[in-house]
Amino acid sequence: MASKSQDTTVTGDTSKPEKKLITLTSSDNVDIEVEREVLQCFSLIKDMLDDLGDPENGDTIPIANVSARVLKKVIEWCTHHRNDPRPSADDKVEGRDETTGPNTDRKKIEISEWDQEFLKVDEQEMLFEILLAANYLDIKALLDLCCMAVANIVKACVTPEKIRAKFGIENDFTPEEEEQIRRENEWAEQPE
Amino acid sequence: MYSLFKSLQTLIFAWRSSIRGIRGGGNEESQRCFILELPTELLYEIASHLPPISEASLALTCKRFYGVSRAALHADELKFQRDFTPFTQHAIAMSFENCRWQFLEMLEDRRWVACSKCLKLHPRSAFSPEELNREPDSRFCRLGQLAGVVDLCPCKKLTFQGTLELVELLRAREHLAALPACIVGNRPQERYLWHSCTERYGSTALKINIFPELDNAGRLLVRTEYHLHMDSNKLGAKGYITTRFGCPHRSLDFWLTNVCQISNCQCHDLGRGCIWCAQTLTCSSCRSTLSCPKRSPFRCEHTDKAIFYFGTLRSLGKVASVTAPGQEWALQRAHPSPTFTSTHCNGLCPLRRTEEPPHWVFNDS
Repeated sequence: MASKSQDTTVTGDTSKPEKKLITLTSSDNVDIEVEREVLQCFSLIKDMLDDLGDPENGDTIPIANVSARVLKKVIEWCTHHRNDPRPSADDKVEGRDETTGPNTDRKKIEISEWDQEFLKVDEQEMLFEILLAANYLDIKALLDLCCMAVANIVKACVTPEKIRAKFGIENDFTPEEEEQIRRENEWAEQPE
Repeated sequence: MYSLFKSLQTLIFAWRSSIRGIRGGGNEESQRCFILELPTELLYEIASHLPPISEASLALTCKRFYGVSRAALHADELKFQRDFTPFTQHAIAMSFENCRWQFLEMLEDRRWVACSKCLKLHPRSAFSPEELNREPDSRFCRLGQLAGVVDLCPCKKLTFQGTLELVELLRAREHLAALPACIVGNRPQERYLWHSCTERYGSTALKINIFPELDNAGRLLVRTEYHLHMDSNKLGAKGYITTRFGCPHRSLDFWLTNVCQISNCQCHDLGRGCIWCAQTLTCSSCRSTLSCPKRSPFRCEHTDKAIFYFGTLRSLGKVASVTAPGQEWALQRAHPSPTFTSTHCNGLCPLRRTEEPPHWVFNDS
């Protein structure tokens, strides 16, 4: 029953020429208005809107895991990329295969200049917050971009020790375990 | 509907933040590690964007990343190269410009230092103080100038330390074989197949069985049996030559080609009486021999491939009760690349065939 009435609202929306605004509430209770079209990037919200229809007047959509600071960044990114071709269902499947497939098939995607500027955030925390938000909101392209940015930091560090220092990773291997890994892979040996 | 969705989200949020609280602990703010707060599937996602060598570095940072990326540690790039091809202009470059060596240099730290002869990391105590000050590319361990790497097959490379361990293994087997039959049972004396593998070179397949043994004089002998499956009439032909060497001085394919041609020699003594035949069978540098009792290939009925059965015998010299590699062992090294003088050549090594440092067309796809 309910779905019928929602269907009509959705079709009514798309026929309207003016931009429809939808209000999101961040985890720290800040209301942010977003164009409905931009929200198409947010697979989580998009699916919800498709299922439940647009919220009634005055209702906001809670984004419980994302703070206003991060949500604004994410919306900034989605607004810039609103016209990007969206991957079809088939592409998605292929993409998944690639991630789980053999490691020899590395993903090679260029980071655009705008995206590079966008990811120039002062603290690592922000990058990881955006990454988590993209994961939570199911924005595949932004998630890929963030993962690539983190991967690039790892690549630039080169050695395990520098990677640890960069990310504050604690080395929880004992010297014996480190030695064993190096021996097993025939990288190290102790001449008698 | 919305209130339900809202309450669900709040619940998830509360649960997540409680997890964070537990993980966080007291003074985490200064040393907070954001990357390890990510769920594991995102760590996989990040690792999927890395080239093998970077992923291997990441795997060595901590146990969580080891769990995610340990497969990268087994990447081919981080193993010894399949074939050490001496004489080629790139032999040195191949040893020091490959991924594996760069990775070893990266792994150098307070404890481990790379050795340019053994192509491995050793503890610092394995080097003299002067050597520790040298660049990795020229630094060598206390085993000295004669240390190096012996190339036994595409997947087995022996450092001198590895040779000592092999000898120890053979001794242990000898002791076992000497035990009376009432303890170990009545077993026929059989050769010890230490290693077996098959490697493909384009349309050619090379099966290798390695039988190491200690002779009465205490020398380590390595018998290697080869089954070479290849297209008919292509032995030694351009584009069909494998990158494998029978000993550090002779290309396996050229050597076999020459031995198979011995039957054309007029001496009729199967290579024993005639100098030319003897030179063909035995490497003039390291005295390794190649024997191919039937000098023509078998034909496989199913695949129509020609199959050559042949073997080499190499001596790694007296290794037991020796603390440093000797000359005989050093002659078998594929790294450092053997120095070549034309008097060693006798027209049988691959270099003489092309006069110039060779640009062979290998079947290496």
